[in-house]
Amino acid sequence: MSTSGRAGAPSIRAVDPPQSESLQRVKRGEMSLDEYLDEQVDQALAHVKGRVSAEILESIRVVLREKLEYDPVLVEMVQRATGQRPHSLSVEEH
Amino acid sequence: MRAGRKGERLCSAAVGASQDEGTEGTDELSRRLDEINELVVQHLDLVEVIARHVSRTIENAVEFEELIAAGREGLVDAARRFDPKRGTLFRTFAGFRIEGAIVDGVRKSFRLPRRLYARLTVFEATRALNECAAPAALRPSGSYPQAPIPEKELSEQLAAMATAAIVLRDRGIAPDSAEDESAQANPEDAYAQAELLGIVRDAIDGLGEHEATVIRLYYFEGKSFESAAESMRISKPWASRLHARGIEILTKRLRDVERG
Repeated sequence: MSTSGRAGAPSIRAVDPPQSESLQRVKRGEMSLDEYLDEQVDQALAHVKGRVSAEILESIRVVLREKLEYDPVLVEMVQRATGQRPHSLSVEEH
Repeated sequence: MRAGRKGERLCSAAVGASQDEGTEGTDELSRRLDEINELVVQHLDLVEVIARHVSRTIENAVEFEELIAAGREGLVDAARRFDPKRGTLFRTFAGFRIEGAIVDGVRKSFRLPRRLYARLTVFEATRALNECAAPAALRPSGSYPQAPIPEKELSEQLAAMATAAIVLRDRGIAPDSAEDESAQANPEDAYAQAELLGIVRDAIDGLGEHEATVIRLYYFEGKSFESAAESMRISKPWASRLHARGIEILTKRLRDVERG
């Protein structure tokens, strides 16, 4: 903990929230954001896996992954969690 | 609808709306039309971005221009309905309307293979949930309590979206007109899905009365949040919050079952 300010007063330093190993790897540049988001989607499906057909599971996986690139709520959450913005398809890419 | 140049009045629908509002003065109508027009022109790019993502998701099964046309209708509708006093950015508000219009347009006008139709259902289910989360998630930093663990916030939202997708799916994956490329589900899948449906229904029975009612009305009776809220005599934002909380609890129950 760092110290600053008046002598004798305890200083407060922002503590980083706990992070998964994968997120730490993203931040160290050892894992790409795309790989991290693929993993996030896989983990999000854990509680429904085996309870829906492979076709439905794939539908959910595809849509969740796509939305991570443009849905404003998810993009903001990704930005907050990783400090990076997902790559979205832009007009120029058509 | 055709894209216009900046400064043109693009929105025939908006003009139609203004003619219905005959009590307003001419100046007020003109000002309102200009506002709507400006919002539309400034956000045409958003239609293209969302159409591109939806197109990729449904494997380019529909002409891109058809998606754009539907998306522009959603944009015009958003511009007409937008109320800046609600504190949501227009771009956010419009994004949900545009995606909804594109997905609805595809659903109503095109026959898709069953597996692609299933993706449209997932779009629908997850949009409702994210739209509900938008006010809290997108407030400027400092004006709303931020999630203490941003990574957890993201993973919980994704898990809730997956739950919403399977609950909505129980309402029926596709109309009879959808191309059925895979025939019937195999017995193992059918058993697992019946079991899942039982878990979901039991879990809904265990929710609070209001959460359960919103979930039943929206997912099983096909009502919109507006009409669900109306029939419950509560506001739409409150119905949305109950929905989100209900889905969060369902996700937890499904995880508990998964863990045994």
